[in-house]
Amino acid sequence: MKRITIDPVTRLEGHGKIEIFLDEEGEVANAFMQIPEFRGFEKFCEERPAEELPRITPRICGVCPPAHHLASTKACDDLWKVDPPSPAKKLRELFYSAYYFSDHLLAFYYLQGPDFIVGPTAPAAKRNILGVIEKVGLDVGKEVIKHRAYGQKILEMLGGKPIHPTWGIPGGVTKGFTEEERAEVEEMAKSAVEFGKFTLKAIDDIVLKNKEYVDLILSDPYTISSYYMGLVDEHNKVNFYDGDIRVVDPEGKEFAKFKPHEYLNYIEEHVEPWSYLKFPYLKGVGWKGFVGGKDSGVYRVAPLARLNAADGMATPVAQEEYEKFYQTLGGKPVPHTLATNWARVIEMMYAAEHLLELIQDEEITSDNIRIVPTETPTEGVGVVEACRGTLYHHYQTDPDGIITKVNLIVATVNNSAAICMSIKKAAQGVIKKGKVDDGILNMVEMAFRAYDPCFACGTHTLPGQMPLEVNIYNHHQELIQTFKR
Amino acid sequence: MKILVLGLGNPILTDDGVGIYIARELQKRSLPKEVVVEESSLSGFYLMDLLLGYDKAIIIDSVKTKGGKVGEIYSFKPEVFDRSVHLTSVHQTNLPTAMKFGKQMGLKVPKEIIIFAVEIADNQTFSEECTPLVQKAIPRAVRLVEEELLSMARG
Repeated sequence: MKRITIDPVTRLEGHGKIEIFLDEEGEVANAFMQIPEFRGFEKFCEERPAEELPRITPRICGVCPPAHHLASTKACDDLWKVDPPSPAKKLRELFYSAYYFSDHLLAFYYLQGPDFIVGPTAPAAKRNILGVIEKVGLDVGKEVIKHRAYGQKILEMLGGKPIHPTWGIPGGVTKGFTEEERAEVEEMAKSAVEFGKFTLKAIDDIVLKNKEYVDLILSDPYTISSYYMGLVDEHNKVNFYDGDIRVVDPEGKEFAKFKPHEYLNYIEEHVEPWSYLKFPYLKGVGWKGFVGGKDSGVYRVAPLARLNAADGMATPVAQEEYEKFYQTLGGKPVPHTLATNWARVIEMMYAAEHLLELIQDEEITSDNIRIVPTETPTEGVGVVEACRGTLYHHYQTDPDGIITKVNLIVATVNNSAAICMSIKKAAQGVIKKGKVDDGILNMVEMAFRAYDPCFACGTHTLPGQMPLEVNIYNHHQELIQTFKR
Repeated sequence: MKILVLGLGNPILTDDGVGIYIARELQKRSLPKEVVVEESSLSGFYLMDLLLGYDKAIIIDSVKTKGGKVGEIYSFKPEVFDRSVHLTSVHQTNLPTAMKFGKQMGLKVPKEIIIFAVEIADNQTFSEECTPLVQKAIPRAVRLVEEELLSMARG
């Protein structure tokens, strides 16, 4: 065996790529994003019993397993045409609120936080969670860790291993809460609500009171016009677990509202020769290329889009912040990509409040948590809002429930056209006369990072996840600069 | 003393799961009593949660290096990944950053971590089996980890 020193950042293969093309003047002419291709998922699923998919599909992603688990479980409900009893639905929603709280917290403090708390052009070595803690203090760091652990703990109490839940089954769930567990979760939920309020105040103090940051959020390089998609409840409030899919146009008017099983009537996928990634768009508007506006079918999903696609939040503190969000950022809808980070924290607040509501619900310790399916399965669609956007699972089976066809639209893929557009716009705004350095590049990546994209996140090969490479080309399309991240 | 052996990977992406398969083999062997064997598909900060409370740890994973020979086994310290501090996604926090963070927060993180990695061929095809050269590396890796564990347990 060789004891070697490797430098995986420069030597590993299989990157995500951002490619930036300059014109003769050194201004940005075009920018694209590319990712490695994954093969054979459909074939992998075929000939398996459908009820295995809620355990298999969470493996697609190392970060959003609970989202795949529930989308898949709901697709199975629909496949066997079984409506779970009310306590089972509430437990699933509670489970999902815990996941949202914990995932949004992680994304805010660990991922987007460094850009705003440490500063967008701070040295790369400082722009991480360690830099954040230096700025906000160790005590806050401890609160971050504690509350993230609460979210994980709740997922584990219900679903077993948090990353590979084996809990949702057609018609319900396998386990509920004892009174003792309920009381424990209630304490965690109360604490989560307080921590949510603390985080909103931190945004107010660090970001909103800093004119430079607000101007950055509102600035043109981080603004694109698009449609917005998200799940809403019967009052058009944001819902993560269930409801209708609502789409609003770039002016905020309702364009469509549809049921999960109707999704193919509304969404089509565009294919580009240079990318394995598909580009979904609204069928009723059509694909007009990577352009914004009302005539282009490009839509967005994830926190900012969910807020834009809804009429409000279903809990009081989140609703108050929702109103402040639109007052501060110039009315609805907000087209500013970097506002996603604030939208995420508003959703984190809602997740905490909803968690507390659900754990105090008298049905939550009921043992009526499953209805055994009796119908013959044929076809089922399950939709949830993953943290990173609307997630579609669509299965067809033979009469024995053996999978014959699987179609998934994973959360980030909905955003793929918008991400390319956002990268191009940001690059055009900050790259001038061919000058690119680390700080400038980070300003481009901020547009990318706001979406918290999770392409190819199912692989685990070292250094842990897919590295990103940024290539800059001159007007002869010759590679002139490469940044490895 | 408590020692963790952690097999990492995704068992539905061909060779990506090799770390998990090696851990499963180790679980069948008789190991020093200080040793706990786990498997996981997590990374970054999620990984830190699993490592807390141990004095030493061995992590087994897959790796793809330029020009690497498939089936080759490397061992190294986590610090070699220290340069990938830049995050493009929440899942991308590297191990040294997570460890430093844990230390700063006063959490008990292992004092010594050794990573074993198998050079792999394919981690982009959905399958529950490794490619042949990677499959053949599994028994060798098991022996190497066992040797390392014996020396760790001694001192």
